[in-house]
Amino acid sequence: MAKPKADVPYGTLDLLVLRTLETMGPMHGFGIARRIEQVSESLVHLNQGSIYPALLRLQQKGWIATKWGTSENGRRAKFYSLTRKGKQQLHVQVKNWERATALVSRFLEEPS
Amino acid sequence: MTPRSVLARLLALFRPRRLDRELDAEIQTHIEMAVEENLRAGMTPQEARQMAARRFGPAEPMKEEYRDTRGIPIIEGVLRDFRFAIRSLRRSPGFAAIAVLTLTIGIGAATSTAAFFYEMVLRPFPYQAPEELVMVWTTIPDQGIGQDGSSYLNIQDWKERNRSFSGLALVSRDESETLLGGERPVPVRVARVSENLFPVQRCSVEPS
Repeated sequence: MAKPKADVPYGTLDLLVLRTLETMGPMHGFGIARRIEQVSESLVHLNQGSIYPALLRLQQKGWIATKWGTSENGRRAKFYSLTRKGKQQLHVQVKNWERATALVSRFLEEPS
Repeated sequence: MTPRSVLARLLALFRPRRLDRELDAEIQTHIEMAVEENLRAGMTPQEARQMAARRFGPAEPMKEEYRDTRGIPIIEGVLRDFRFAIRSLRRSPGFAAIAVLTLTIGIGAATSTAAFFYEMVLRPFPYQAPEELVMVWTTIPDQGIGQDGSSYLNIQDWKERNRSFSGLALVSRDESETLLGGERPVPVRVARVSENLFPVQRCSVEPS
């Protein structure tokens, strides 16, 4: 490995999953994991398996829905999609995230 | 927790195996898709499988987290312990028998002691005001007689001069008779009483 990869920042996986489903539409677990890796250009080290507990949590909150379907290669796979509530929540989460990062960068930009 | 997630967790308690199978199937599909992608990228089948497993990460801790999220850990823990206990007992029937016997005797002894204690100490008498009832005896200290019966004339005097109690009833001391007429004679304890005994006692049980 060329350079050490950071872990997915704590608490951001849910956000990445929601955002992926918003841009890509219904996807199966593998697709979501690969998409997150591609968008992050492999800067981030993601245990692909760790998205499943995240998907379950989001499902329990009613932010995403599941449906068994057939993958592009004819495999039976569980597809996840954003619900209306999930879409609203995604915007709330994005706002929160922006506020949090803005706060941190203010401190970092302060000349020492 | 939203009501919806509570419901999901409760439902999960009743079909853990089916949900486990569903997750396993999902993981399997995931790995197969990853292997396929790796093969297309030109890896050997072995490399492709290894890479897919490594990228997936440790599966067991993930499943554990998944199960905890899915159900209600406390209840599941209790159920698991219960099943484990049943299995262990089945493996050693001798121990199980002794355990059951010990419990049986223990519970039996405790129950009968408690029942006896209740009958003798706790159970209220069937009188409307048991605290107002007293027993009157004759005592003759000179002769060392503490509690003795009284003569009918004494009782007549007490009845006349009584100002503290609403009534005075009589009960003879322990006597026994033999009850005939059934299959065999039965000894019974009897007492002769005055006709006002039950009204004076304000007894809620009718004599049978």
